[in-house]
Amino acid sequence: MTSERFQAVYLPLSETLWQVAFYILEDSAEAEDAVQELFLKLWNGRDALDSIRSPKGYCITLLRNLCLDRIRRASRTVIPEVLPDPPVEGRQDDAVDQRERLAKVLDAIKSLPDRQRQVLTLRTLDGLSYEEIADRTGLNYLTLRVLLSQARTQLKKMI
Amino acid sequence: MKTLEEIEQLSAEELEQKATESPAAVPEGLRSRLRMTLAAQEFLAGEEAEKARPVRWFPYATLATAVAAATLLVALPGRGPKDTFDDPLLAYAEVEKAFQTISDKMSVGVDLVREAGATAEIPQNTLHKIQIK
Amino acid sequence: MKRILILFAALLLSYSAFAQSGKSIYQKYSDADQLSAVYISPAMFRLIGRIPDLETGDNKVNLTPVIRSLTGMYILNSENASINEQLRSDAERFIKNGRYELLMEVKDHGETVRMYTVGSEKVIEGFVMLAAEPDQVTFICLDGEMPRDQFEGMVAEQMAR
Repeated sequence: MTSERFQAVYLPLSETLWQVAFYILEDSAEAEDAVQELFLKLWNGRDALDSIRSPKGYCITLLRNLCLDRIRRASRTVIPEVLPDPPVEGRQDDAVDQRERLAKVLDAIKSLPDRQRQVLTLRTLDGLSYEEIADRTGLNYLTLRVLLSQARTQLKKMI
Repeated sequence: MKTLEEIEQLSAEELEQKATESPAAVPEGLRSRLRMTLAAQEFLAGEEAEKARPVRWFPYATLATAVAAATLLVALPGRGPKDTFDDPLLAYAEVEKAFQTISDKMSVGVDLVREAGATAEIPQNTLHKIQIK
Repeated sequence: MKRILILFAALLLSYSAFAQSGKSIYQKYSDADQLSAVYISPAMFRLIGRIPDLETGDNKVNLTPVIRSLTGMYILNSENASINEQLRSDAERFIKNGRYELLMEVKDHGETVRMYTVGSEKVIEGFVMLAAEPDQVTFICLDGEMPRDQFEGMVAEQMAR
């Protein structure tokens, strides 16, 4: 599934999904975290999404499970209905590393100057060509090349 | 009080219905933050992919050394004036600015020609070649 | 902002035969007050050509082939009334001696802009723009080699925007 289509189909669901997460987790920040986790999961698996008939139902189901996992992880006093899989040593570390790197990059993106962030997102996420970006932003070719380079340099420092 | 079991037993439709019954206020900017998250992910994925490939471009350290060397060469007496910029990206930006200026002034010329009785002169053979409509 | 650039492209080796070579003019004026000077050398253009991602020419705006063909760029922008006249005459002498051909002349709001090219029937070797206003003289000189039809195509594209 293309980036454009993914965003067109799944991003509009985000508000409802947040409400579902909030309903389960009863915390605003946790809810957003869960929705973010969901979207990352969806995004990483987007090649398989074309066959999903009902994106909303699919997302809610996934999200529910993610939220429940969170609750179980967070709570030590609740006896889990089903014992979670014992964590595999290596995999756990990689996953944690990956999450940390992502968090750092995300922080860096949030603190980029607006134009750099805009150009970076259009190029990296939306995959637009330089001409398309120039059309959208009104920036000229070289300015946006420089902005992009600056943004990338900033982010690379974080990883 | 919601229990895990209760939630587990709800279908997706039911969950949605309950969640949106008395909806809590969705934080502002959620979608844009999600876009940023995905952009961060794509950036990281791109970096991993780059690492996996053999390096194709000129490493910046070497580039910087080459620039320094080139600047030195140019600055030697008898060799010509010194480069105004050390950084190829800045130099590139300046070139583009020059092109923009040239193109703006050309456009002025074309506009003037299009309006009859213009005070722009574009030699006939040039006009013909660039086929102004 | 209208700028008048004084063309000091005489820095080109091929023009060193002339009494006032571009290099000497550039060096003569580049430190003057109220004058900004930019020089980009062939070495720097080679480095520009190596900037990563420059390869991906995925758009019609593509300046990359143009920039790749450049070997030198001189820009002089003077607002110094006491030297403008001299600069302009130096530039015009350069243009005349270098056998530049007029591409376009535009007179607009008190500014006169002339653009020139030099080269053979098939290949353009240089481009000059000289713009003169009462208080400003701007000169852009580009050296490089480009097939003439590619240059004309680029000009047409710019005009069509």
